[in-house]
Amino acid sequence: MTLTPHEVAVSQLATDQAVPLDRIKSLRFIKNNIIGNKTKKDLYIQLGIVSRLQDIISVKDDKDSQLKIQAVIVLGSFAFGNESNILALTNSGVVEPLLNCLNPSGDPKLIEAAARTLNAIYASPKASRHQLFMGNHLHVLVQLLDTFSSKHRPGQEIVQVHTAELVASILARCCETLEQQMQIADSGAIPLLMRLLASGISKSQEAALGALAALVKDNPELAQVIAQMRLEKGERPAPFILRLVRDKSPTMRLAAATCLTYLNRAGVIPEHDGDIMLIVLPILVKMLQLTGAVQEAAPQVLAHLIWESENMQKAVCDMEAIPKLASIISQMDEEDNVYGIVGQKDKLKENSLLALAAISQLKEDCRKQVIEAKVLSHIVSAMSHPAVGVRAAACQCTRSLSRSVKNLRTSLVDAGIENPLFQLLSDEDLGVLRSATATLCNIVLDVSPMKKTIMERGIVTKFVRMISYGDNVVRLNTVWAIKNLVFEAESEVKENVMRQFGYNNLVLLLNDSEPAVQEQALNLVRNLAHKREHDIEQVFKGLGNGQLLSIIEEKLSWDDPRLLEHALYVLVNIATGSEYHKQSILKRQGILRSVLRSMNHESAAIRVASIWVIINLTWPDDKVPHSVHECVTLLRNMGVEDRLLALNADHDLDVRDRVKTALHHFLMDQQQYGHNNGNGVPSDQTGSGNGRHGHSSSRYHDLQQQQQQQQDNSTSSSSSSGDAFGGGAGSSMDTTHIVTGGSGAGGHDRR
Amino acid sequence: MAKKAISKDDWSARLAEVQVDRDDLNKLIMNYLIIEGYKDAAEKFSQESGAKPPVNLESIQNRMVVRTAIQRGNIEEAIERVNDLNPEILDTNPKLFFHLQQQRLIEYIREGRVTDALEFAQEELAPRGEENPEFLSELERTMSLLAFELNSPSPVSDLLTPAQRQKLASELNSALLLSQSQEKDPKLPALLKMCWWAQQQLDERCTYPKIKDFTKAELVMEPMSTAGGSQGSSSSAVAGA
Repeated sequence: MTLTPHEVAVSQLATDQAVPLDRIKSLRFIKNNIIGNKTKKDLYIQLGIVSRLQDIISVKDDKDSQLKIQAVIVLGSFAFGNESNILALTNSGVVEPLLNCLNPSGDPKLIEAAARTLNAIYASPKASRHQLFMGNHLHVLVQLLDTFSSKHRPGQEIVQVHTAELVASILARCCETLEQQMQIADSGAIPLLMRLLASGISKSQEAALGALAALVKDNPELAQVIAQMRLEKGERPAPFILRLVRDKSPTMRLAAATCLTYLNRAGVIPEHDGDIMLIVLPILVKMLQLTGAVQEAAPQVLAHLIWESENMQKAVCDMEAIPKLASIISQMDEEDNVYGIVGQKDKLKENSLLALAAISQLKEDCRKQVIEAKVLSHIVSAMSHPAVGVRAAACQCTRSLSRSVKNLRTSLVDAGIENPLFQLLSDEDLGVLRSATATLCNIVLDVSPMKKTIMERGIVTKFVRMISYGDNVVRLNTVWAIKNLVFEAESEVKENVMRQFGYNNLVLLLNDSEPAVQEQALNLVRNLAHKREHDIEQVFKGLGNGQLLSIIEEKLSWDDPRLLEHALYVLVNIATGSEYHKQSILKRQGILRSVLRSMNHESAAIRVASIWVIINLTWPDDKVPHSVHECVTLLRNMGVEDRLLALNADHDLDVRDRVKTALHHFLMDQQQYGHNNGNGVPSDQTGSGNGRHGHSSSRYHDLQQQQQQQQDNSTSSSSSSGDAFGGGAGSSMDTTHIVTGGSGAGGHDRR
Repeated sequence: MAKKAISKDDWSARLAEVQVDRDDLNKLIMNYLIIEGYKDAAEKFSQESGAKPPVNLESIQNRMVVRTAIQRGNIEEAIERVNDLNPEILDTNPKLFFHLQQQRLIEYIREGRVTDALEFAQEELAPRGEENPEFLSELERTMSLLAFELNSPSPVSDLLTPAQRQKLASELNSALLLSQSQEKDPKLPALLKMCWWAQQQLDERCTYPKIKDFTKAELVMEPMSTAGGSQGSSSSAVAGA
């Protein structure tokens, strides 16, 4: 059987070949076959070439450096192949011998080739990085960064400069966790990177910028260190990099903009805030119109820069970034339709969607622009994209858009977001789940017509699953969503939800390890117990009134003002219920003492809440006047009236208003039943006196507190009845991390 | 619309005030020679003017060898040289690699080696088309060369011209320059374009001595246009005095 030339070439690599020259010839033959050619790469890997190459480069002596160099180069070419090629490389354990080839005493050309190959391997996120941090390797790498070292041989300057660039790029790619960042910093790399930065050689500068950016990303400590360093002429890095951000080379501009973005986010260059806004931001927006790698990366950097910043989001809107992004996305969809989804441009789509999500995060105007750009249908279809990153980014988009009340009603529904969103709730990726549940929170708000349909689809069953998912953010979002779902809902809806969800689950949430989850769970109780006596009764029955009030009593004893406030409002709602409900509260000394104590809390909101409890408990009711009297007496004896009188002088207007109402109840009681306080006010038999609230049929709901909280939307319109608190409290999900839905472990955006 | 008029003397006087650094001039010339690949000229110029080449002149040599190989139709040799110079270029430039393979196919067809051509197309080019669907139309075009007589004109006979090789050679040269982190465009043409554009802008605002032929660089006063001409002619009369 005749062998193909390829098989011949591979067999010639065997170590028992006497003539190294033949082996070099074979290597060059193989090299020229596989470079640029994916099918040939597959072919050779199947022929078992990787282990042969590994044998060659693992040889200890320094004799055949040319042989090793060619072998290293061939290995590097496989790193440009598809995923299985790269896996073949890393699984074979070829990284360690490659790292050994970096030995400074070896042939500089071999060192350069090994650095190039390693850099190509590390371009893949799947390649394992831990070998680099073991043994002496990091130390060797840092040595190679030093282009001025006296150890270098003369005449090899160009090779050494190239090597330094490659090492900087390797460090940038292996710098993903906090630990890795700190290890690299500890190895002394930073001053050498600074020198590369100031070297005046563009490729070196770009590589240095990449490494520095990777070091300061999400690392305030290193960001501070680097921002405070001085370059050769005494200048600090930031102004220097600001000049580079205007370089004629787009890759340089991108590298500089990325570095500045991370420094800015770490808050270590506040003196340059204006520059970031006026210089860096427009440059990033302009990059959207380029092509290739720069266009692909720019939207992600942009998203990172403007996240959580209203000013920057508005500015980017004004720069017409939205139409540019919209055209990128819709053009890609067109190409996908023609060629089928090949997957090469997935990253560009993902990043563009992320940018849209960031731009429409906080400002209603920006959201409007996104809708007007007619890109919504593409966003919705991207929610079902095969690539997980694209799905997660699309979901982030819908989340940002769903914060708008108007949008909920019209555009999102019309675009058919419900189906894909529902599907995403079963996605395996954590990042996607987080975004999807957050979007869901807003979708199920009262103003949304989707509320009904989504319940019919069995959303509550999904909720139950997600509660036990084991991720804090998902759990929090889920409780939040349920809370919004039952807000101002019909009794039937509330019962339906709780029947499927189960009160036992609610108890678990009320005792959750995360205070934020507890807060939402309390809110949920508050919304359940709102509006109708029947609803309150349901909660009593579901939780068991003993348990409900025990839980409340416990929350009231916490120091956490948020929990305190919500617990008080649960009481406020319960106190609008039947006699039985009120008595349950009044029987508990612990609760009453906590309420009394809260009337002196430093937060006005809590003082107000506690006074509301008093108001509702002492509400005059012609049907059971004696009960009311008993209640008033009880409270008076505890010192509530005296406390109220003292609060007449409170500096908060809201507090003073509530105090007036509460005191009025006490006054009326005093008038009706007399009072051993000796005030001598004649009692009024009818008891309807001058109280404007004297009617037993007065509607409680005007004064009852209910809460609607929209996901971090401080501009949400309040609900129908009077004193609803329009949300805005929760700083909430994913404010510091842009979730890309990759491997998901801390939702960290790493590419 | 009244246009301001500037006389030739006035213009020349202003021009004389502008300082142009000799060093800058030399750099411009060196830049042109290097990018276009005139290695010997660059060396001589460096010797005679004292201008230092910003790059290793060896690298020019390398680029020139590659260019020559392509111009001669030795595509395989060109590929090998490129891979020796920088093994990452063709791995990171699928379009360029496709064009190189495409040219190999064209060379097979030109030599009448039809069977070889078909085999090559199947083994090497079809997979490229699968990996990158956007190359398919170019591939089809090249394949259709096989349907026509070599020496008669056809809708695709442009593929057989030297210009096709030239195009490829420039594409490859640019990629090599970029990988050596040099710009791929010389500065001199850009400056001329700038000059041309500036003159167009100025045309809307005034009449003045223009350069109409860059090789001569003579200042020529335009004949007066009729619109707003009366003012122009009177001032030129004054200027002449």
